[in-house]
Amino acid sequence: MNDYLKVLENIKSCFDQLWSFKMRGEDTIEIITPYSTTSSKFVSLFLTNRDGKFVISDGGLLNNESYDSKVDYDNQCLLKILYHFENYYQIKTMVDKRGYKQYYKTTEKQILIPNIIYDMGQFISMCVSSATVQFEDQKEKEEKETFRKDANAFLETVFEKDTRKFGGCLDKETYRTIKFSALITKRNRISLISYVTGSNVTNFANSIARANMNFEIATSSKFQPYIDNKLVLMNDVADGYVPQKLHNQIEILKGQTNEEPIVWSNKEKIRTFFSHN
Amino acid sequence: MGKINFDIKTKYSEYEKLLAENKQCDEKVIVLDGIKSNHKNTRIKKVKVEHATIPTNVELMVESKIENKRDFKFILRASEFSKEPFFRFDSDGLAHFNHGTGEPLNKEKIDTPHFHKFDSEGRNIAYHTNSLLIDSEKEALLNDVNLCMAHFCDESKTYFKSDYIEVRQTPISEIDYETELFNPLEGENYE
Repeated sequence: MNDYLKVLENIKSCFDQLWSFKMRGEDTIEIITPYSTTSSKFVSLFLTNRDGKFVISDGGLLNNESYDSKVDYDNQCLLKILYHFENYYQIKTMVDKRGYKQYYKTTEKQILIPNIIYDMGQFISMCVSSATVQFEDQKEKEEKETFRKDANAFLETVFEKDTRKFGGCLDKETYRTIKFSALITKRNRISLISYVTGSNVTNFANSIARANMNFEIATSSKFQPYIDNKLVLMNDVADGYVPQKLHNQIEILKGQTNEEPIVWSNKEKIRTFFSHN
Repeated sequence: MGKINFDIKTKYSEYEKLLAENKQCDEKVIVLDGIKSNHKNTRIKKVKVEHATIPTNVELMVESKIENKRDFKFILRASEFSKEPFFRFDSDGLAHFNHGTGEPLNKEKIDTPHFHKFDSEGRNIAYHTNSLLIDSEKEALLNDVNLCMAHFCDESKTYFKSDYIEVRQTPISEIDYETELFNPLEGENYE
């Protein structure tokens, strides 16, 4: 029994020593909690008192990728998990002056601060760890990466360095998650290029759907008057490219872009397209 | 088990040499005249470093938050050797978890400021030098980027000739902001 008491004392003592603190300015304290993530970080929370109300926030660190984990907003599985945690722990959100989303909870009762630290610590830890999970299968990831690199290398031969941007968004405030494979700018006019590929038909169809949705959002945005072209570079040598099964999807995409998708085996068409436009 | 760097794990003896042997920086004074592309609040500069015996391109990168000069990073990278930086110093930021190293739990949490290197298993290990464990010395290092850089030079064996490298956090042409303590809750409204 005595040994168990020692073991228990040691467990409690080690856990206790995992708490640390840093003052942040006049009225805020950073609480470095014992909660950790699978990206090997400890969760930090920020506590302040505003007119008798205690605010406990993650300080925007989840959103600004301080935990080395990037939330993939295209990943519906991940989003479901995050919303589940957000609902369960009844987390509030706001966007701070730097443009980062902060997750927080408040209480007016000092005695309930530990409850909030517990909820927030669990919440951030699980969100970060979920976001580091590799959801896509390896084959799909490699397919997308390889095509992206090949296509980028090709477009580098077509467009001057200062006119092209790979993997960018229309703007970082409103359209942060709407990314295009390449953005080509020419005298304040812009052309959007989306790569479409997939290691199987389902993934290929999803890739078409994402390109289609992003084009649609761009079309209904304030940037619409500046958009010259919406082009699709389609990987016709990918395993997932089965035109007879993708006919409907490709037709919808054509309706959106008003152009035939340019297929990889005929990629030189991009060069001629832009020399004539 | 955290992420394993297999490049470093499989070439560990070369890694040890990369770290332990002298490295020569191209510049005596590093002026942070660039802005980090994905974090506009951070000044950045990369300079070339040459290793005494290993013919590989090494790069020393210095980052510093514009409005908080106590928040900076020194990063050494040899891309052909490993994409991930092989050695770094973080003055601020999140505590690191040296998970599964066989140390007692309370010793596995390493608050910032801390250094990072890799162990023979390819695990990214954060650690404190003796100076970082003494509060007064730690404060002196955080308040003077050049003192801290000198400490980094000794720890990483990176020098300009035989001198310490220096850092100018703000180029002369730019506004030099007063250091504000990092407080992400400052001036924000919560429901």
